[in-house]
Amino acid sequence: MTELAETTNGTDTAVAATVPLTLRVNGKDHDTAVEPRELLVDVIRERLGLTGTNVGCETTSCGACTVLLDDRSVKSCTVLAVQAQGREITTIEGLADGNTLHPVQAAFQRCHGLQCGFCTPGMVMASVSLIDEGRATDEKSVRAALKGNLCRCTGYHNIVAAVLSAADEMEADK
Amino acid sequence: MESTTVAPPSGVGARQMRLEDPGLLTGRDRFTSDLDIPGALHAVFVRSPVAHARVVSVDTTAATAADGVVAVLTHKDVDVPRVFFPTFGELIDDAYHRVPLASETVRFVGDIVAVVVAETITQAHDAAELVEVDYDALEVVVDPVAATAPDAPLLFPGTGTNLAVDIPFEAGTRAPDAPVQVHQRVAHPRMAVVPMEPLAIAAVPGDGEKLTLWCSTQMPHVTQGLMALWLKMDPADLRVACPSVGGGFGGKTPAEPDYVLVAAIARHLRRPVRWTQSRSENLLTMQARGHLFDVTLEATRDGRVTSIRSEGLTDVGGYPGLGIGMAMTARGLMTGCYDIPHASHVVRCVATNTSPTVPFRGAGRPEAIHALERTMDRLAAELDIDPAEIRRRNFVPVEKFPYTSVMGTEYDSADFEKTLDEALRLADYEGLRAEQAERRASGDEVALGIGISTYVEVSAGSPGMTGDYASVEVSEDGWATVVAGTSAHGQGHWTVYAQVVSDRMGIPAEKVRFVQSDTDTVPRGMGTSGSRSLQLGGTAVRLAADEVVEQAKEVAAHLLEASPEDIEIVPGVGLGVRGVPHRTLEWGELAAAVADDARRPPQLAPRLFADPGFEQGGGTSPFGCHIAIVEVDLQTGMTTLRRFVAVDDCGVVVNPLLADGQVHGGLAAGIGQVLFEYSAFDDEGNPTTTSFADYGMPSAADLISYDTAHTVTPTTRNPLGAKGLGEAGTTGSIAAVHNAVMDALRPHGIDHIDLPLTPMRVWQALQDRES
Repeated sequence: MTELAETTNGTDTAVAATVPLTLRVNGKDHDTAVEPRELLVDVIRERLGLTGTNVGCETTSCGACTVLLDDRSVKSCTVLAVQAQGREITTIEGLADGNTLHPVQAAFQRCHGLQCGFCTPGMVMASVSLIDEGRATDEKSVRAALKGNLCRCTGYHNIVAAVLSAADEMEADK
Repeated sequence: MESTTVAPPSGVGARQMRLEDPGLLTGRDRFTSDLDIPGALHAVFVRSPVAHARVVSVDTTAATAADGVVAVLTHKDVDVPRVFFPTFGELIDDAYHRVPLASETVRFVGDIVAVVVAETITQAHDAAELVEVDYDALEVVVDPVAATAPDAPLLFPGTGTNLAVDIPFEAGTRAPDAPVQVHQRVAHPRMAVVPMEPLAIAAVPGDGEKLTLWCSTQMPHVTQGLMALWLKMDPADLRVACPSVGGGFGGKTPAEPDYVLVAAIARHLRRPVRWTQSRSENLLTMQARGHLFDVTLEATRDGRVTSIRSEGLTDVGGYPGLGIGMAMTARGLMTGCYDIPHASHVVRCVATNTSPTVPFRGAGRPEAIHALERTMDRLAAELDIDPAEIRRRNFVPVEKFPYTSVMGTEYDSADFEKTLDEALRLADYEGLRAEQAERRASGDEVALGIGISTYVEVSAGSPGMTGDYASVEVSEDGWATVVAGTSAHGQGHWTVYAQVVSDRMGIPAEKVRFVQSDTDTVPRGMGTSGSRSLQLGGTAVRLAADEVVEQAKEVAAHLLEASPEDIEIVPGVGLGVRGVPHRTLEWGELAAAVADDARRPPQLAPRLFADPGFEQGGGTSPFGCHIAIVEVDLQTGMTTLRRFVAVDDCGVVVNPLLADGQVHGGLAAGIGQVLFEYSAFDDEGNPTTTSFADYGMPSAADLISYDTAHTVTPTTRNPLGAKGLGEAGTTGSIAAVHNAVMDALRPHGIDHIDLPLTPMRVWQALQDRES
């Protein structure tokens, strides 16, 4: 169903079409209305106020906007918000358990896998996914799996170390 | 003054995990674009799609009428100031200054001709499409050499030349009739800075003339000063504050033309205006490097360099400005680690119809070391001397420090052989050369290359930036608060400054609060650039901490009825009486006592607070040796980095975990520049690398794990003994990788290929040789 909402300048007859949408993010339902062209990342950031997910490019290249959609990493700049209806979205804000960091977050801190922190939410979400998919078997495999997440600070050395360390720890805890 | 170190687990030298991380790892910390700015309008820039043209007309009618649009502004509507840098005031003609909103002429693809301001960012983007600009094309010049030709089209006809800067230099005595002479031309191409967070700003007008700029910058106070100068404001009316800053690498120093424009528009409209740079804008307008060096070395037959003569031609793009600084810094380091008695150099900076340049990691240092170290390898090959040995023969000997090079650059301390020997040992240099000889003899189609680079640089040496501010205060909850004039954007200053506090005061690092990057809460500061922060800011923290300890000792002596000389720090607790374990006072108690008129010693102020600041008076000289080991496939031209050994000496290392992180990032940038990255323009000045699909930003899959190590040669210029490290990785690695690839290819008849060494270029060089 489509409803018509007036735009904010009030004097123009032009209207933008929005559709109602329920997004399930970090275990909580959010009722909102979006234009069909709106990207998931913009809705997460602007409408839901979850600004941990960052935008670093416009070409699905940098991965700063990576979130989990039904437990698999996606670049939320390349998913329409309406495509996420009825699916489970996890952002960086939903990863830690209260004040206890997720093992991947803890490993990033332990191994100094972040510096400026801008790529970090996306890098961490991609890492959670690749470990879950069983791809953290060795350095080469981790590097290949992180190809879609760019970082300018770390030279990737400590990110790779963090992912391998987290994978070991999570395997041991199984 | 006697130095005592308390050294709890979180003190100097500890691999302390970062205090910054929890907020960044959970998405809780905010970057500029994350801030909620009530009522903020969104700006989108309309940029020129042509490289050089007269602007005939700008029709904003349709855009102004579009949904949500508040204003569409051109230079006729809003007063936008000229942007200039007083530092270079003596070097360049005023005619080169940029007005960030172009009026009559656009000089590069990306020059801004109009600004659309709308209620939402989507509306602003939609309306920007409706702005009609009529351009009258002018002749374009992209190539910096062509731009110096007498008949070249001029960017600023009033100056009569594109050469904004042309400064010759010569010093020392040139030995006559040098028996050996080698020449190398080394191109050091344009690249993009690529902080993962692009530029972002929110300009918020307040009462009267007040203006707050929330922005992503490396230098809040410098930005405040320059903005006030340009906008003709009282600096006291201008607040510059940064939330988290997502990397800078030189690209966010000190104030962006874009920020001036947004600030001017917010003042004009008297409403909050925000702007976030897109990645394509970032790749287009935040570019660096762009030099062409000609280097001639003269030497004796046994490889002792007697003279270096060099010329640099630096392409500073459409508006000569900040880019000039890198050419000047490069000049100062043209003799590198070597004791050379004669040098000449010409700094030439030329305007072209390309993006104006900004600093990038190293900012002149990697450029000089790259040009010199490539030429040293040519000399080694010419004389058939091992590249390690020829460097050793020319090093400034240890006993000559502090040393002033023939370029006039002072190196405070160094031991070049120490880092060279350690790197050779870690790399198993002899073993590598043996493997190489074997593989060459067997006709291996994958050629092994070993590249050495020895470097020295100057950190924290920029004129006017050799000191900084910090305060330390202990509050009644027992925590210390550090306020710093440096401005971290990924470096981890909170953590290392807390370690310094811990070291000097015995307060655990986890009980140190940190305030930075806000001109309202930090009295003064020069920000973070040029590998300056730990040695200047960290020392300022240390001096403040020591003063606070002295104050606290007086309080404790007063309360415990002891002599101040008998009071000592009890790590993790506070202060106590030497030899009397139970007579202690916690830091919180001391802070409470000093605030209490009844308990405070009369000579003290009512706070445990100090902010003496630190002025180093000059720079320090980090140095090191990098060795790259590569394999080059002679069939495909593909280079694979097999191993990278970096031995860096930054004096005393406060946190080895973070120090290695700085080196790793620097190495990646240097390796990226050699193998993958460059910013390109076609002959018409159209940029061809404005997305990550085109620009070779390296990913984890393109790089390897690095072998890093440190030798420690403390500086005496500051009591920490620390030198800078942020730019070392890049400064050393470019020449190491470049030399390694050339080392692989030399037996195959190739002496030099310019960067980037993409498979296509290497393959082409191999083809050209065969034809």
